[in-house]
Formats: sequence, structure tokens, C-alpha cells
Amino acid sequence: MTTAGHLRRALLAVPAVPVLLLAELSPASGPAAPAGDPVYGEYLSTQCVTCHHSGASEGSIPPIVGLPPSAFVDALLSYKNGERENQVMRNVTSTLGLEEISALAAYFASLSPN
Amino acid sequence: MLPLSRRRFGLISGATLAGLAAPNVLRAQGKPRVVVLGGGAGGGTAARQIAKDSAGAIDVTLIEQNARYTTCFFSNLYLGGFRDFDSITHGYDKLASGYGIKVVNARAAAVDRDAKQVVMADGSKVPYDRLVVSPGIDLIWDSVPGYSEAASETMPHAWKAGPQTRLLKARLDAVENGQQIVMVAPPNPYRCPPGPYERASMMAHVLKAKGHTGAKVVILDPKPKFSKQGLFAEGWEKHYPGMVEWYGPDVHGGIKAVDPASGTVTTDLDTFKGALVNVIPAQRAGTIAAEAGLTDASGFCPIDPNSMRSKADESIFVVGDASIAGDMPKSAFSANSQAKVAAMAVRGDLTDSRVFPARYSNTCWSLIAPNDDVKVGAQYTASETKIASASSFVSQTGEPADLRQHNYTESLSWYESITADIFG
Ligand SMILES: Cc1cc2nc3c(=O)[nH]c(=O)nc-3n(C[C@H](O)[C@H](O)[C@H](O)COP(=O)(O)OP(=O)(O)OC[C@H]3O[C@@H](n4cnc5c(N)ncnc54)[C@H](O)[C@@H]3O)c2cc1C
Repeated sequence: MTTAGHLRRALLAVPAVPVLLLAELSPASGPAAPAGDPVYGEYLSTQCVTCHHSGASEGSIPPIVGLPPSAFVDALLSYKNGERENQVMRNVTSTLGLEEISALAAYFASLSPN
Repeated sequence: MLPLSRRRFGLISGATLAGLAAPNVLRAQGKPRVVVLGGGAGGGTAARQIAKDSAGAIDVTLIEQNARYTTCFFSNLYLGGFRDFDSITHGYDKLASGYGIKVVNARAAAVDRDAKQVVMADGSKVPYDRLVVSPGIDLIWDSVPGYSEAASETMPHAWKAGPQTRLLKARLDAVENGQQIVMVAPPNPYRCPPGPYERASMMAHVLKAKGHTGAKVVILDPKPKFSKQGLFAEGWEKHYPGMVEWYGPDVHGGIKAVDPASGTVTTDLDTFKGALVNVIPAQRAGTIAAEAGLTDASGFCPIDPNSMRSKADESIFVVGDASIAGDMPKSAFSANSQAKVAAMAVRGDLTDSRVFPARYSNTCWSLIAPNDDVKVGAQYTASETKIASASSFVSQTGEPADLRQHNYTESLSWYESITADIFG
């Protein structure tokens, strides 16, 4: 079974992963800098905001705008590898690769919550 | 960013691109024009997304016949008493003021594809470089013999939200203990596959809450099975024992006719009398799409799964219920998702913006009883022939109550987000 740690190590072994994303994955990393392709992330994000509201939320779906990339990547990976429960998010992340996750992280980090 | 600099940028890089990638439409005079026909789940999303992402580089006009839009989604929760009517009704002010969209509140009469313009009912013309068509469904009245638009005043369909929804609610609230509600469910394909069964649940909830447990809801279905069937059957048994009966064609033998005067539905098996009869007829793409020649023999519009571009006209995109969207159900979530793919493709056609592989998603929540909500969903990509499911999930029978309650609160968040995503 893959754990988030394993995935992250696997990630470190993939040369195509942008260097800044790797930095983001380490807890000791400095201030957030977008790593993935934010233009791709902007397109992908349109499918997220159908449920994730940018402002205060009446229900239980958390806002994701402005999340630091490391927290964002961690959250998506933990759904993807089954550590975290939620049928919708497990299903969504099952079709997202590393390129997509880093692109989304870069895009959402670039926005400020309103 | 200033529209001017944005446009210059588009023109310069567009000129370079023009030789490489057709069809790149760049108008020498003025901005490229996008017209969106239909201000519902698909059209509202497309207009807002194109206006927002092009930041002034594209001129966006939204044509919608009604000044306000009542969502079919959550209209069952209105029936059940969980929402008021105002909370499911939305206007177009924010799309106009916040995104610079020109909102035309009038009925479109036709699409003149040769002249690339929408002809309005008053004869005025709205020219376009790209047209996004999202007119939703029209009802095929005579798919149920005896039913008609006039009959819907007595036997409401409430499958287009608005006055019909209020009529159904008033009639539901008047049902007495011991009386019977009869629902005629629609054949496939129709908007919102779990919708009729969520509605039956909400009807039973209203009756039960008043202590009318001697009343019941009878569903006469032309289909042998339906969406989330096991989940609904379990929920009805648990919350409304003896109050909801579902008959498929192997039991009723076929729905022969409805009679608004006597309030009856005749099937091969029997004649069912209802204090309230809810008839949901068969459906097809909105009339304007058919008249524009965008539909095929199925009554819906074939599209390219990579872009939602009409197979009949490369300047036109069809999204939402009117489209043939492969494995995707006809839902507001789907319409919203498809509109985003179309918006990207439209911008790719008209400006120098990047185009990525299409991705679609859908989740449909259904409320069975207070805090007992189930869901089904999937992710989709474009295969060579259709929009194809890439992975999916569905709630399971026997799930713990806290999960079902969480689903309900999730659906509340979703409604808030998707309506902001459609209407600004
Ligand atoms: C009871 C019920 C419950 C539902 N629940 C859910 C749910 O929980 N979740 C979900 O995702 N979906 C749900 N749906 C489905 C959802 O409502 C539809 O799939 C969605 O509205 C489709 O969007 P659309 O843009 O294709 O059409 P619509 O939203 O119907 O919009 C079409 C618009 O075009 C306008 N129009 C049409 N022709 C013209 C013309 N000639 N000129 C000007 N304007 C025109 C119409 O006035 C309308 O506003 C439900 C549906 C029903 C009936």
C-alpha cells in the first residue's frame, strides 16, 4: 500500500517534477512559490470551484483558495492514496496526476481568499 | 489588465498563430463576439467563464428569456420544505455588473447559421463569432397520451422550475391523510436521473411530517430500473414504510393514458387515481436547438467530446441537457462542467489562450429524508467517440448516519458554490 510518504519519495525520484514543487513538499521549505503550471491549474481549477466556494461556506466543503502549495499537495495526495475519506475527493484525485496536482497547487496558492 | 493592451497582445500573437492553427478568429474591427443562448446552468457558466477569463478581450452577450431563473436543482428540497422559493431563484445582475456581460432578457426565435446571428423574437439580430447553445430541455407532451401543456395546470410536471414548482408544492401541501399521489416517471434520457425518486422521497417526507402516514406515493415508471434504486428502496423502507410504491413496466404493463378531468392514470394493470398526479413526460433538446439543425434523430445535439463543439457547425458549441454527452448524466453539475470545457475552446478559437485536454465531472446528491443524503459521481475524459467515464463512485446501502448527514451538508455547500459559479 502506498502512503503519502511513499508517494512523495516517488515524486522526488521523478525528474520531470518541477524543483520548486519538491521544495514545497519538504516541511522545512521557505515561503510558498508556485511550482506547477498555473495556467493549466487555472483551467483545472474550474472543476473544483463548482463545489469549493471562495468565500465563507454554509456547508461542509472547505474553501481551498490561498492554501499553501504544500498543504494543498498533501491534502490531494492523502485522498489519492486513500488515507483520507471522502468519496468525491477520492474519485476526483484518482484522475489527477502529479502534473495536475502541482498545477492546481500553484494556481490556488496564487489567489487570495475573499 | 487594460482591455487595450490585452487586445493588442491577442492581435500580435494571433497573427503569428493564424498561419499555424486554424480556426483562429481575430476580428480586425472590434472584439470577437460570443453569444450564449440560455441563461441556465450551462449558459450562465459559459458566459461568466468566458467573460472572466478573457478579461475584456471578448464581447459576451447572454440571451435568456426569463428575468429570473429558478433552479430545478434543490427544487425537490423546496417541495420538502427545506428551502424557500427565493433561495432557489437567481437573477442576472451580477453577470452584467461584475463581468461586463450584456444580458438580453428576451426570447430568441431562431439561429441564422449562415449569417452567424441569433434572431430575436422581436426581429432584432445578435451577431456572433462563436455561439454557445444551452437551452435545456423541452417536454414531449404527447409522449404520455392525454397529457398536454394545458393538462399540466391540473397535473403539474414541475420538470422546468418556476410556476410549475410552486403549483406542485401547493398541491402536495393539500394532500390529506389516506389520499394517494401518483407520479408518472419519464423514460431515458431525461434531466436529473435520480430527480423523480428524490422528489417522491420529499413528497413522502411532507406527508409523514404531518402525520399523514396513511397517504402514499405511487410511482409508475416506464423504465425497468432507475438511478440509485437500491439506495432509494432502502431509504423508503426505513423512513416511509408502506408509503412509497414503485411499479416498473413488468408490473403495470405500460402507461396507456392520463385523464386530467378525473385525475387518473391508466395502465395495462389498473387505473390509478391520484389526489395529485405528477406527470414527467419524455424530453428532447430545447426547441431552438432542433430548429437550428443542431439535433440528430435522438432529439439531442451531437458534440465533439474534446470541446463540446457542435458536430453540425464549427462556430457553435452545445452544452448542458441539450447535448449528447456520452456517459454524463443530464445535470446542472454536468452542464456547468461542460460549459467550462466549451469556454476554454471558445477562447482558444478567438484569442491566443491555451487549450488543454477536456476533463469533466459530475456529482449528484439526493436527499431521501432529513440528514439522509446519498450521492453518485464520476470523472470523465474525451474518448474518440464520446465523453467517457474515467472513474466513478456511488453511496452504498447500510452506510452510517453521520456519513449521510455529511453528504447533506456537502450538498448545501455545493449549491452555494455552483450558483455563485453560474450567476456570479
Ligand atoms: C426536479 C429536478 C431536480 C434536479 N436536481 C438536480 C441536482 O440536484 N443536481 C444537478 O446537478 N442537477 C439537477 N437537476 C438537473 C438540472 O436542473 C439541469 O440538468 C440543468 O438545469 C441543465 O442546464 P441547462 O443549461 O442545460 O438548461 P437550463 O438550466 O434549463 O437552462 C436553459 C435556459 O435557456 C433558456 N432558453 C431556452 N430557450 C430559449 C430561447 N429560445 N430564448 C431565450 N432563452 C431560452 C431557458 O429559459 C432556461 O433558462 C434537476 C432537475 C430537476 C427537474
